[in-house]
Amino acid sequence: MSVTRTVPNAINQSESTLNKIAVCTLLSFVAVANAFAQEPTISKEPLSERRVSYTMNVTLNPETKTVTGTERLTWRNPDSVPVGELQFHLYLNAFKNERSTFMKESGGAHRGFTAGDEDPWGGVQITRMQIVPDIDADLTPAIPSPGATDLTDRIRFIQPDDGNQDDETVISVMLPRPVQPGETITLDIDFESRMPEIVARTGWKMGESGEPFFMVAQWFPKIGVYEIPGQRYVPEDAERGRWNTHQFHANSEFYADFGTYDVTITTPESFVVGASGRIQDEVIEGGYRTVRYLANDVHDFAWTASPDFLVYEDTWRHVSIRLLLQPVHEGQAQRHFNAAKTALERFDEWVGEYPYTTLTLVDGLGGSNGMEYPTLITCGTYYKLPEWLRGLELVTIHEFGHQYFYGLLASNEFEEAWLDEGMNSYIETRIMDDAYGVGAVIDIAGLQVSDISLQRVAYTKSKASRVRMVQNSWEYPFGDYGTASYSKPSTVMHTLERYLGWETMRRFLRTYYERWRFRHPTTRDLQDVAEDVSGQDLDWFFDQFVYGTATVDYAIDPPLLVSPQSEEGDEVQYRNRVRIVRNGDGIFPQTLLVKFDDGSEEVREWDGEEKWIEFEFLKPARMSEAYIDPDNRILIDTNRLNNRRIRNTLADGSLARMAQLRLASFVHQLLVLLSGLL
Amino acid sequence: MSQPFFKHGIETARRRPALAGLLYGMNLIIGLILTVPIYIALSSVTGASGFAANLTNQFDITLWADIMEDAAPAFQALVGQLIWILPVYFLWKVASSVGIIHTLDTSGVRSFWHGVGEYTGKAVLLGLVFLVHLIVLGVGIAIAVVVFGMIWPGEAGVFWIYFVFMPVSFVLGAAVIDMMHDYARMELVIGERPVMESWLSGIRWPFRYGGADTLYVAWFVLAGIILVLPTIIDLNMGGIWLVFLVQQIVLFLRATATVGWFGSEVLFYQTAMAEKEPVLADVEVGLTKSTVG
Ligand SMILES: [Zn+2]
Repeated sequence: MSVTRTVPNAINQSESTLNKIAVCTLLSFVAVANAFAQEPTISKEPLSERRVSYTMNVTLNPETKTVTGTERLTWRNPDSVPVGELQFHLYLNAFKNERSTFMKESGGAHRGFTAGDEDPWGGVQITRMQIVPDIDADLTPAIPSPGATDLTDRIRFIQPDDGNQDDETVISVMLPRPVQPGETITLDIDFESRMPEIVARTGWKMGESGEPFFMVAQWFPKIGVYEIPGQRYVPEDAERGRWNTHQFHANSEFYADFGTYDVTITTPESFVVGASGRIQDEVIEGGYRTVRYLANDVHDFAWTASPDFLVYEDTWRHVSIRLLLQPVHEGQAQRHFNAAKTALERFDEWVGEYPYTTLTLVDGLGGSNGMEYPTLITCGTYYKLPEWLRGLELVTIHEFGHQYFYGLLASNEFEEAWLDEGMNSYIETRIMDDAYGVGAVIDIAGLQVSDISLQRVAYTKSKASRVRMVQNSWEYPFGDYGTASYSKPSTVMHTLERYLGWETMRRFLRTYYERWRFRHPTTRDLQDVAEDVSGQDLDWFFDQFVYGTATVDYAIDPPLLVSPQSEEGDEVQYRNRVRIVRNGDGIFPQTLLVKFDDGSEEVREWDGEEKWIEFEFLKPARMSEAYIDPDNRILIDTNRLNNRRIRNTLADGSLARMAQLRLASFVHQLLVLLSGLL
Repeated sequence: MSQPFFKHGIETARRRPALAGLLYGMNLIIGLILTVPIYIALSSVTGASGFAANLTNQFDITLWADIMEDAAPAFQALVGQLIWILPVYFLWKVASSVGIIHTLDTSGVRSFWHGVGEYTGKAVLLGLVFLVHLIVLGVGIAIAVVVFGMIWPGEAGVFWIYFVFMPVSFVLGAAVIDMMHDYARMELVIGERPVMESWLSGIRWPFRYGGADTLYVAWFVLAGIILVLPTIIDLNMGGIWLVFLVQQIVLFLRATATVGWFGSEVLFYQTAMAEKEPVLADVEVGLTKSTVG
């Protein structure tokens, strides 16, 4: 078959910065051009260790909702001892039936989405798994006999997390001969993935046009991470490494090794395809569209297909941005691009360079939205979403941030979700507020809500005391996963930023990125970087707020005590006393600002360790106000209102009066409205 | 064609400030009484906090979250009281309406309170019948929403059905019912007709007199605009007492609009009754007749 590429016919679009490309229109056949043959990263050299490599050739059948194909997987044994077992994730089996661990934990719902089809189930079936004997004569282990190369019958399901025998999301394959240290093994795997109706992230959903939308994610047999001694939490002196594979849970995401993906996807011609990596070539033949993608130095590969997508393209420096938009959201393309560029700019400035040359933004359907895959993210918006409500910007910036926090800094999302979701929420909130100001999320008629404060309130007002940030995701009680993985870490990291100062925090972020990109950092590694960069022992901080459940609440203990003490000449001396109490079990150094009637101010520092402390000021003026944390630096303080106190005689009822009067007018309006109905 | 009636309404509103004051005063008193606990709760929570002055100028979700944690019972009580006050307010609305109609009757000098005393009982029955209309309207719209949702699923459908069709159809439907109710009350008070007869006559009005419809729409738009103003003022003006004062002026204006609205409708009703014909033709004659009595 001759290799050709098709160029969709371009249509001029009124939004001048965009190129809207017509889908399903005339397609011209042109010889391979170098435009598509660009590198998927900014480097011609490998950027990661590349322990794995996948070459896949798959076909989507929209009628049966299946993706069938072959996968050639090469895995290199990184250990210093032979490894005789391989473990794989079959994530899609989470949607196989109601007995899977995911379905049992989630009750069949995820972020409010459920399946409604008569047959919503999915799953992945391996029809053949075979060792390829001669892929690389030097590195492939010698195989005793051809019969021993077929591993299909050696596949068995294991349940490392909960022992649920009905869960088929992890498999173990014992090899006929171990893979020697440093050797690679190549397997050919034939598989059929039946996509479920979308409940969580992956599957199909019928679009408004009656055509199906596919988000093909967690879809192929994927080898687990083999952690060697010294890697993550495997002791340096352990005899051998171990597989780190977890089942698919309701509250958890993923973990995989970096490598290369060379994926050829065939769909009906009418489908628009988007995928991780960079497109290499595209062929239309016999009513089918075949697209080949290359993604290097990534640890996952996802793709999407739908005949409905509107396609828009834009660029940011070295990055080609492609947006696949639902027709109902036409007119919101520029908002997507602006948000993506806002994120790209700031990540580049604050964390490090985006090393990939593509970014695909997918406006998916239902539960597929708000998810991240290497160089491809699903966003999410609503019809006629007003400009003052920046949900679209928030989700786009958040999901882009995952290109760094889990994409490049590939922590184990099963075991330490805060390292990706939490660190990402910290940067997301910072970007949102930096880019859009105090009304970053909501900005209408004086009601301004910033992203940082939204996350702060989500943490401080939600059972904050019971949540540790470092814990297996699936072991959180219902509802606590969100606080532990998003709002608490965001608020904790903003507090650390204000404690260390932004310049130190920025150096920490850049150093963390430089030291751990394309690797698997842990919480310990992150703390080490923070301590190296700041030159401080931060155990007190991490032990309490990251590993621990401590909550911070310091308060001025009312009332402020002021009494005349002595008279020196004409001047009356006042004994001013203020007591600070520590209501929470968390300890955090405090700054106290005291103001006096004569306009003078005093500042005191306190290590915050005792249950309470009293400060006394003998001054020729009465104390008017006492204020702890006056610069609002300790965002983890669960009650800010009690941080400040004025003298009782100065009590100010203005807010109460204003609220009452405005509410009274509002009630009056309600009554008038009501009288129209009665 | 409806202009003279509208003008008469404006004139009525101008001449009867006491009636407007009564309507306004009652709403003001209810509003203030219901919000006293809010004042007490908020002043105890924020008075000596030092943050009060900042919060009067700028919204801060963090501090408000702390405040709501402490003052939540007061706000919950407000919602509870609003629900509890519904039946009482229903009685007041019915009584004040028949009182106004009675006193605006152009055929002689009549007392508001006499109207209240004489017709409130029957008007309550009539009001309950129209409440049934409102419930039927609600159910009808709900059924329409479900049907439209099946015909037009998807996001755009949800937007137009829930955010446009549902509120607009409810407001328009409620307006038609309100107009029917107004004329039914006039049949009851001025026409001295029994409850069911008044109801049957009232529900025919929107379909019998185009002029009555035009008149209703004119007042509906004017009163609607006035009612939105306090919210616009609230969102765009700083300060405490000045905002309240301006809002109160507007709300008093809204009460005078209610009086004017009734004034127009009473005259229209009496003119129509006097002529026993659609009042579209010789409005001036009818107007003169009616006002002269
Ligand atoms: Zn996330």
